[in-house]
Amino acid sequence: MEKVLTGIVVEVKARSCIILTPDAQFREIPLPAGGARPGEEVSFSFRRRPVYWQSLLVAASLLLILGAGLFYRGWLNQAVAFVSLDINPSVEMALDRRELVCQARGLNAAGKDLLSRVPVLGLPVEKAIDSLLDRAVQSRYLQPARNNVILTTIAAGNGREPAPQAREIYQVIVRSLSSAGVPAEVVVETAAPEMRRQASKLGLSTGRYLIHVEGKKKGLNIGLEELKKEKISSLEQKKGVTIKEVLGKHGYSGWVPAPKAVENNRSLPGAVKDTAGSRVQERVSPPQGKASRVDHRSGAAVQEPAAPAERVTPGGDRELPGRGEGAAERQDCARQVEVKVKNVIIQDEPPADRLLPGRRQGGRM
Amino acid sequence: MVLPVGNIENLLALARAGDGTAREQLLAECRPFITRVTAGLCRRHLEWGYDDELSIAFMAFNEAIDRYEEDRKVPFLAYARLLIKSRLTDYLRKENRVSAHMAGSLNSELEEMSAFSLESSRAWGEYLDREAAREREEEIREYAAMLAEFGISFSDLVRCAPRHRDARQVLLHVSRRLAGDGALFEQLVRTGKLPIKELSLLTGVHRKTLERGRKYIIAMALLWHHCQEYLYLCHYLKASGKGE
Repeated sequence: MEKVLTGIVVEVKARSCIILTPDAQFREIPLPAGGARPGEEVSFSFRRRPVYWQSLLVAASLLLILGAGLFYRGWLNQAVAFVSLDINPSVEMALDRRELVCQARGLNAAGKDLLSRVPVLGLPVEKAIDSLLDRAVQSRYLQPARNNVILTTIAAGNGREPAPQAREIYQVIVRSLSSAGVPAEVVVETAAPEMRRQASKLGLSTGRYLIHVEGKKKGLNIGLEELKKEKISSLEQKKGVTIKEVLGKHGYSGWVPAPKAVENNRSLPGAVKDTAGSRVQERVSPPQGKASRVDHRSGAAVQEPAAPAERVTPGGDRELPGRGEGAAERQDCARQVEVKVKNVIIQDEPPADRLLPGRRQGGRM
Repeated sequence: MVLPVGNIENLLALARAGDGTAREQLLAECRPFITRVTAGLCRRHLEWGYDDELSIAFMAFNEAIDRYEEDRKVPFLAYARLLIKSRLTDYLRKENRVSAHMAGSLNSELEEMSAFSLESSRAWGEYLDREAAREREEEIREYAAMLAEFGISFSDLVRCAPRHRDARQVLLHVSRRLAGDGALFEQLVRTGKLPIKELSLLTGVHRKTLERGRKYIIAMALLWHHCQEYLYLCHYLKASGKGE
């Protein structure tokens, strides 16, 4: 592209000349070939670098796409929900918008140890929980003979983004435990973002802080130091209450018993997972007693829709302190749960005719 | 005093189109110009009604109205000046020849013919171009000298003349107001300094802007004010209409 500058020469220098242009500009230009005299009208063409608009547009578009992609990636990878898992190892996982684990941290030494053995980053939350429970069993944090308690808390990051459903998490844990053949009391609770922030400030998991808060409401004296040091199962024994009772039946809770056959024969908890026919017998407590639960988005209490759940009742050989129910009630519960297991919860389990006969009786409910 | 060049151009166009009144008016308005040019050539004081040179110059100016060629890119007044110069030279030569003839010269007729043919031929065009170039160069030299009196060089103007069209138009407007205001221009010439405060009040342009374009304003104001002397430069700026 060329721009022609025309003007009268007003001064001649060694290699340049100054011109006065018709629009009253004084410009210095290179001396034309053959020289110039003052008063002479000369023209000079400025060569401008051609601007390749198409290339510029393509580059701008690419930059825009790249920027948008990075922004979208950042937006996707932003932590929007937190799932804390209290076995004895306590861990907390941050989930992005796709419900993939984007951050994970151990809330105590055992939690850190567990996370160092299980790479959960980038996994879907269900898979991450499954892996953590599997490793907890292998590392003997969860043992068949113990009074196992798994408290899981789901908290939204800022209350605006949807968090994983407690029911789904509950089912994942139940499936994982049943395939591992480890009995455990499973409690899945939801918590407001503010609750999680308070818990973090105090150095507790959200679940443990929830126990403290709800226990206080119910007149139980469960101190923060106690919560930091004690296992949840120990606390249950010490205080003579179950976690489900303390937490006021907000979320989902139940007892996952170990299959008898497996309990009698297996040597390692991890080996149980291979017995695909292991049958889960669980009791899922409905959100009864307290008809509302905390909404992730607003932190406010909302009406809980009818949940297909049963009350928690530990098995006879895992009688929790303060629990003494009659055999008739147990039988009744066993029947109810068996129906539920068939129809609702474990739909991907093998058909009932493939299950071990001892499990179908449900005598240990 | 700034010449009403716009008026002259309008009157010239009308006169060339056959408007006798416009021609009369143009001749009347340009009488001071004719006087100054003739006196400069004759190097003496001249008076209308007494000196033949003024009559010759007046007739030459009238002839210039008809013969002016816009394509030559020579301002009308410069063209008229050249024609006056030519006619006066012829007149003076003739006067000398008459004197010589009376003294016994025999070649007067041939010389007269030769002079006429030179003027009417292509050589006249070449002469005109050459003279115009010479006058233009001289004019620029005089302009540079005048700028130097105010401590301004063309290199300074290259540096301080605004590149942006709007900014330049603002300063050109200020310079025209300065050139047209007798008191302010006299103050500029007397002190050699731009009356920034007064100009700011007069034009409404911020004093910082005036200070930044001080040299450019002075240079252009001098050009506008002495437009009668710097016919070529003024005409060049006016021809585009952008220097106004």
